[in-house]
Amino acid sequence: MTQRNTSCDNMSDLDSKETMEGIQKKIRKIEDQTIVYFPIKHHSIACSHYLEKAIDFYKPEKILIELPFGAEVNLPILQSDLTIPPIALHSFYVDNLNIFELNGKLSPDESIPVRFEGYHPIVAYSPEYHAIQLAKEKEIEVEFIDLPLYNIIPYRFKQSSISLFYPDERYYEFNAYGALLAKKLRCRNFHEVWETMFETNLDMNFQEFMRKLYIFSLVARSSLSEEFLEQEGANIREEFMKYRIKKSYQDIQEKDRKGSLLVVTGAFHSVVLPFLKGKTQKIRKKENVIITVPYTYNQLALSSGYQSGNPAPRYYDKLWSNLRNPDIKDIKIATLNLALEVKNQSREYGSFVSVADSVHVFRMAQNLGSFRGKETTGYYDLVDAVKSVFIKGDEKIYGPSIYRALDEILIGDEYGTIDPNLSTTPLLADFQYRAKKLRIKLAAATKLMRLNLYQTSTAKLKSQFLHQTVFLNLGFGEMIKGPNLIKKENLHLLAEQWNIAYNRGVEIKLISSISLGNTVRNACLTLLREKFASTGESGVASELLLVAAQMGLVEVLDDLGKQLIDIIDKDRDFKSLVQALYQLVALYNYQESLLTEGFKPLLRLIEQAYIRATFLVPSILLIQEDEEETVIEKIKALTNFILSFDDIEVDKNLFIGQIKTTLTNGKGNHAVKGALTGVLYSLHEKKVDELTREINGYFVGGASLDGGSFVYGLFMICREILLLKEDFFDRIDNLVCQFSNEDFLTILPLFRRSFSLFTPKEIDIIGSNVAQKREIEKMEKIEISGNLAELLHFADQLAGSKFEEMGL
Amino acid sequence: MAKEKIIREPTEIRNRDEIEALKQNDTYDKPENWFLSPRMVETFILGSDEVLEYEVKDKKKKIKITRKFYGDNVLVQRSIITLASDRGLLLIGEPGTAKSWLSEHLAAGISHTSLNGIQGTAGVTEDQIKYSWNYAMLLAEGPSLNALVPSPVYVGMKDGLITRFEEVTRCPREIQDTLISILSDKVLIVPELGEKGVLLARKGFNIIGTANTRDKGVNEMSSALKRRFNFETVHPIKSVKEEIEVVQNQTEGMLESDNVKVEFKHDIYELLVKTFHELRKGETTDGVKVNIPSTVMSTAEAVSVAYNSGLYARYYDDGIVKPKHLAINIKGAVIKDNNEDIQKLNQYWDLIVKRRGSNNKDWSSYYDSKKYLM
Ligand SMILES: Nc1ncnc2c1ncn2[C@@H]1O[C@H](COP(=O)(O)OP(=O)(O)OP(=O)(O)O)[C@@H](O)[C@H]1O
Ligand SMILES: [Mg+2]
Repeated sequence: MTQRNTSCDNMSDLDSKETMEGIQKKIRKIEDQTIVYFPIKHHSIACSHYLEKAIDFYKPEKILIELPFGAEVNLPILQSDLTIPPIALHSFYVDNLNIFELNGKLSPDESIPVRFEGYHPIVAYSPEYHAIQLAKEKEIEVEFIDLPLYNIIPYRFKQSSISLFYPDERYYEFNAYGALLAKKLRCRNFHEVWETMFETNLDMNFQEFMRKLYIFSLVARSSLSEEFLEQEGANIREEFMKYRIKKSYQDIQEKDRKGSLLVVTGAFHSVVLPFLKGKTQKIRKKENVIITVPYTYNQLALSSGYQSGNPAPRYYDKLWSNLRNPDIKDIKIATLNLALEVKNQSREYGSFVSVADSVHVFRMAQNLGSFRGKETTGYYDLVDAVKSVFIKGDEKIYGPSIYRALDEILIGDEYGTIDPNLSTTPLLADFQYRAKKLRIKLAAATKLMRLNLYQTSTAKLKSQFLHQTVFLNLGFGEMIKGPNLIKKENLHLLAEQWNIAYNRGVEIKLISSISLGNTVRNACLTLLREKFASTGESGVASELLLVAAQMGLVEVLDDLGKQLIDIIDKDRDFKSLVQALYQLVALYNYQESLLTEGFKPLLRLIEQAYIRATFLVPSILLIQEDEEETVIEKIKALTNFILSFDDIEVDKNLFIGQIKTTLTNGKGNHAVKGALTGVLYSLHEKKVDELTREINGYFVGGASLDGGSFVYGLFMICREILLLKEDFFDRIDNLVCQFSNEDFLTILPLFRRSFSLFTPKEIDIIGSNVAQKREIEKMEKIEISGNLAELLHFADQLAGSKFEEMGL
Repeated sequence: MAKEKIIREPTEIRNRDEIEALKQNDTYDKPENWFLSPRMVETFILGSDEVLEYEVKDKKKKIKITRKFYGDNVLVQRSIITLASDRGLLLIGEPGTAKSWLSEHLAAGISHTSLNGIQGTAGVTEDQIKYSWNYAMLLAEGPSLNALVPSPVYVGMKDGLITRFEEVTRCPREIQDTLISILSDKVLIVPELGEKGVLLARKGFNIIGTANTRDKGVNEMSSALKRRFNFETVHPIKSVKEEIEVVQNQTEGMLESDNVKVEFKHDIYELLVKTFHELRKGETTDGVKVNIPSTVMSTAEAVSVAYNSGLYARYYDDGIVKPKHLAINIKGAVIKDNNEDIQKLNQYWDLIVKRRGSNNKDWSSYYDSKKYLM
């Protein structure tokens, strides 16, 4: 049942610069050319299918393709049987000289060069790729004609330093014509329009297909403004492509034979190229580096976004391989197989769907397809049929597992492969070289490696190398045991234990990190500088310094140290500054084993961080409640620093003075006040009776939430006081005894947090102290687990008599 | 027979001109026994900008097909295609999301009648689903086709019609399960009639069930029966603008057919629909979180409040619908005496309505009607 008019002449409602007549005339002109302009949409099976027919028909001498000029060096890789898509052409350029004046705009700082990167994703059914394969088979010359990355930087890199190519996808998407067609054909987006009009019709002759696509593109293009195309760089690219086309044409033998030169470009360009004069651009060889990298379907689907590009890379791959299989040559079977695959996958997630359901999906998808005017079933028909048939109940409950299965099967997560004999990028090669030199085996199976840091110097070098791989996020090694300087854990250990495994993921990561540098070391340096420049937090920056030392990148320390002084000066966050102090002290304490003794400014940095942190003490009274715990931890760390670090003269009074002014002036967070009061006590600036007086002050009027917080803050800094100072203990005990029963019950929960700071053992001690004092027997423990038990136990003992009085 | 005014005409009567026009313009293939082609059923339900020409008694006429169901177009497409297959369609969702409404329009488009249906309740028996007997005739003639009282399912099978089954899940499970063999074998056997008692369903027969997800029953359907249905979850209308359109169209239609003349401004509809939409979603259009009442704030309820407000304005006031009429009817029809919900409504008034009232006089007078919510 053919149901819809899917022809292109729906122009009546369109605000277009062209009339249908004008368009017809243009098409006649395009078709009259001796050069054949074959229009494509990227990742389109239909285009690949018809392109093959056109190549068979015209037998061109040469094929020109819209891929970046200069990327032909990749042809052996692209044409090798050992290369299997999805892959991508990866162009990059690092703007060390700030030629484009975008350093600091697209990079964290003016001193950090932007790494411009662009990807041309390629799948097995990409028409460009298919043309390249056919060219190999038929021994046809191939050339790439698009402007390379460097030349389009001013147009395409306005918001981000990474670009996906194939912008013409977007041209359709944001186009009034696309929107109009979507509405007319009741499609949800442009891709469905495309599917309905082109993708699902493989039985035309190729000339008919080309003409249909010409019309479509001309109308679509006519509803875009010239300014837009100019800004996007479409014009300059097209002029360049035309220039290359003309140049190739001169070299051709059979100049008069139609189709001796075949040009494969996005349909959007095919309809204007014949009318252009052509203009070249200066191509800079050195700046034009393009390599082939493995890619994943997942990336492909994500990067193009849901609305445009390729919504289901694996779906089309299955269709394509069926179409190419001489025994099948039919894409229907693929739909059925995919329905079965989705069934199996969703059963994994607990859905009860059967083979019969899958067959029903297959039929329903076919019916939906023909209802929507398609010759064959499409992606959207399959998805809709799965929705109708597999979701057996409320979509909210039964939908998610089905949708997940659908994504996994139709998007896929396969990686491509690149012929290993042909591709080594410098970074990958360096990684392999260094691993070999350090005698680290690159095997797929996970291997345990033990490094005695203080025994051999290779162990140290290995450790540094492994830390570098972690920093680059290669997924190669993971330290499972050993001293963790960053988190200050297990510092007593002298050896590191690593799990290492070398797999495709590591390799791919190395290949695609090429713009970071040619060696592992350089890549780390680049990344380190970028990360350093993009943080304003002295804590994070100091941690990076420590990481750098761990990686053995000693040469950057002086430079980063200079920058760090500036960052510390500008940092207004108390927590971050104490964190910085903490990391810098660690760097100082371990400089011998980290081999960084040469880094002289360290003590100055430590002092600077201390002074700045002290300076910010008044600000911490104003924090929110959910921050108070971390802030108090930092107060504690700062206090410990003062008490323990004696390699420089730390001016203790600076801190004490700040605390005193803060406490006398400030309104604010009571837990922090308690903590600061505790610090004064720890630094011998306050006596026990002063402390108890302050606590009493909170509770004169009965229960007080603020009092609870104060005590909590105090105990976070110096809870030992309750255990060690008898007079403190007595007074608190007296205070508790003065409460009425009712008050006591109200106050108990307020102390809950404070009690939880004590260990069970400590609580036991406190308990027996109480018991001793009251001369009552230790009460039986109440068997409830967790903090609550401690709380009850503690409270129970602390005020045993009270409960008894109340008959509890 | 004198033309009597009935309370609510079925959609195929209300929209007889549209259906006639669609029929005359229908050039598409259609499944056997379908009155309109799938494409035209879709157009009937989703509407179209195109003007259709058609003839009635040699007179040329023109008409535009209005939109009946707002929301997910693709859901409607899937539903139509399901009905052309050998599985039934089960529309499920929150109350008042137009499940019955959509079912009615699908049936009208496909079979030209929306009246062939059963209402599911706890008391439905197998007889009501299959057939029963006229006992006087049964006694007089013995079992015969004449004595048989066909059920809607029976009629649907015999004539190849869509049969509507409202609130399927309210029926006892054994009763629901009588549908299994009907849907899978498409045959109904009347043992009393011997050889003549085999009714094979004609093409075109299918079942549209509806079920309410608040009823919990949906999950308890037997899996054998579930397998014979394709499920579609109908969600509340996502766009406030479309919901206003629905409520306004529906209410105006109802008031007009009842001959109630009132002045009911678009802005007043907006107050009402926004209130419902935002309370249902728990969030206002500008992103403020509000508490969701336990009562269903469905589009259907909004229509009913709007209609009642119209009546109220006409019979108790000067015929101009004002914000206070909405408040009175929201309290009366929706919230009733549920204390918690009254509180949530009050919060909405204090938090949202009040603020909007500061620069809009309708919202301001809406705010002043807060007293009617108590
Ligand atoms: N998406 C929508 N499009 C058009 N009308 C709607 C929509 N949602 C709600 N309505 C209106 O609300 C009414 C919905 O009532 P209907 O009885 O169909 O809902 P229901 O989902 O069957 O509810 P219940 O579960 O209570 O049976 C319709 O008459 C219609 O006026
Ligand atoms: Mg209903």
